[in-house]
Amino acid sequence: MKTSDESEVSTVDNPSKLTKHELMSMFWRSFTINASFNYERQMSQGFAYSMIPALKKLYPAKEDMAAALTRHCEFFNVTPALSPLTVGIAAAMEEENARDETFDARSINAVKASLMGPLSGIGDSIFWGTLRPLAGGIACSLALAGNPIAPILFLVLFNFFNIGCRYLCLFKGYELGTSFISKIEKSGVMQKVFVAAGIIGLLVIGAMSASMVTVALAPSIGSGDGAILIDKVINGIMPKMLPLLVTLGIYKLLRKGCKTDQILIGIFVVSILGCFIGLF
Amino acid sequence: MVTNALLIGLVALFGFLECGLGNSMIQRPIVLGPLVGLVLGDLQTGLAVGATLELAFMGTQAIGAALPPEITAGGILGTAFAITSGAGVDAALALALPIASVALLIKNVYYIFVRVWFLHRGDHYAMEGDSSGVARMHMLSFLSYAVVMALLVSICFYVGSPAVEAFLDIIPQFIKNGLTVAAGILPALGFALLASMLVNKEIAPFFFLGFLLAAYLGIPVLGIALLGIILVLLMMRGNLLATPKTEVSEDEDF
Amino acid sequence: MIALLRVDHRLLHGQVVFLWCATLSPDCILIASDDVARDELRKTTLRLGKPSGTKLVIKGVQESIDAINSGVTDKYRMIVLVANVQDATALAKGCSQVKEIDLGGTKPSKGTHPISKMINLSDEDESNLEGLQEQGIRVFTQSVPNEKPVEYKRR
Repeated sequence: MKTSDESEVSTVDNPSKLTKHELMSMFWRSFTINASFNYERQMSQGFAYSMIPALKKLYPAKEDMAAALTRHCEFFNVTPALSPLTVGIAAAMEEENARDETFDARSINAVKASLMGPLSGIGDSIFWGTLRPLAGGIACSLALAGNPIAPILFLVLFNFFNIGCRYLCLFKGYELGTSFISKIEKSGVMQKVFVAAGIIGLLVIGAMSASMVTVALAPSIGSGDGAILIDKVINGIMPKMLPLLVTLGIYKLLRKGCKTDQILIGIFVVSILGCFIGLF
Repeated sequence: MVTNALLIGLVALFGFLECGLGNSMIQRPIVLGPLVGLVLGDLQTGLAVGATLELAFMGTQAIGAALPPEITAGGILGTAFAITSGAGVDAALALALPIASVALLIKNVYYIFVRVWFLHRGDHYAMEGDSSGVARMHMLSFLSYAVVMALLVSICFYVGSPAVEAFLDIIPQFIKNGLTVAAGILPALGFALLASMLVNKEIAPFFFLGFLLAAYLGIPVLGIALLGIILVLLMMRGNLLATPKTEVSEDEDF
Repeated sequence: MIALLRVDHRLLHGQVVFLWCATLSPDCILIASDDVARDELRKTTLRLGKPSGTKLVIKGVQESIDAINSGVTDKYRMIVLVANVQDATALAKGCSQVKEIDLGGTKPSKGTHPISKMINLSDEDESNLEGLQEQGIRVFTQSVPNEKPVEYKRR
């Protein structure tokens, strides 16, 4: 299977070459990539919609357009922020397909299919695992203090990276084509990104386990003036020890295979019963 | 009341358009909560509820086939009812969860029956080479869901307020206290979920590092995040980020 | 030993793999697929997405069967991934070590019907799975470890 030649973004209007105009249109359209999600083919329609500007330019003939559109009706699922990378690469491949009679169009979907897995692995870890909790944590502490800038800060933080990533992905994907993938793999940058996101993510989550989990026990040992809250005793060993124990406890339950819903209901039950018996 | 319901409906529409606006997280409680608060004239409660719900739902996301509870509807209605009933943050949590679960059921039905119809119509247009038909099916699939859900949220708010108030009045105090306690513990579930997503033996200590920095030194989340970035940059300098084990993956003995 | 044999047309995809690795702590992932073994680009992209600290091996179906049966893989705690029910059936029939199959996800195509949100099977797939169940192999659907596994039953 041929890999795409590297293509520069051109500004000269050439019928078989995509220009900044089409790419920008695809960039904006890719914002809707998750908009018509369904279980059968997930983001397929969003992907096809994003490809249309390129396809319109490259395939003026109806049969070619039909073939291309049908091609992009296949199952698609990538973390939305990284999906423009696939769009860019697919656009570069479609360009080659339009130009070169011998190009096997089926390789386009093969590349899409092979990219979906790893891109989602990285995307999910970075955007859902690290960036959103980070932005969320910062915004929530501001909001709990009553600061109305919280939601705006949240959106700006998240979307700076979201939109920046999308833009870079689309254009780099188009310019480098499939050679992008082997470049990334050889440089080992992916593993580094995983580790970096993991480190930052865990730091932030660990910190939030201290500052945003509240567990206060009511009972005390002893009586009268000498009574000490059990709470104080535990947290005297290490500040925020109770929140830590609770978070680690839940983590252990998840590892053992407890379902999230069960733990959720469990927390409510324990909290309510606990209040009833005076534990909290 | 009708004005409020309409405004809530607009907020809901805004939230449900998120998937078409780059998954920009505008549907999250930390955004919609304050927005609802603004609309109903109680920004402070909106902020408080938004933050609480955001923390409680922090770990939820779509993995595999399981979509998480519908936090857009749950967040909006939870905040709205909490404000109109005057019951505050704890009520919001108690309401948001069941509402989000019911909304998820509706979402699933919509996805399975309506969205798939648009999908198949789109195939039809694709086979004919009709790109505007394909585009139309995609956008209609998206917009119809947003409009339908916004309407449902609006109606639910209009119809539900009195019922919710009555319901909240009859809940005994210890349950209300229990809800407050639960609101404090729930974020731990989210954090545990997130941690399990990111953790492996090598980087596990960083969770505890973050915890200790916050617990002993009281460094806020933003500070920890910045420290983390600097730490990672330093590690890159010292070439500590690449774990040698992973590079020999193709050294196959089978 | 085989900790999990999973059918998933997306193979290594996003959080699904990470969650299974977090629960099962494998030290090796084996992808058994003729199509993938032949495709250099596919192999490269799969290597990009693997969890760190886990060995990734990509082999054709028959080579995978041979490797498992030869005992070379016994010292690893392995997750075996296949792209479709056909390959899973071949592995189950060829290796006595295979005791259960997790249906994680298969995509719809001509001749398949959905048996759940993520799983689409053809009649041939269903016959194969039923046959395996009769031989005592457990077939279930479970997308992520935090979901309840559902035993497969032909409708």
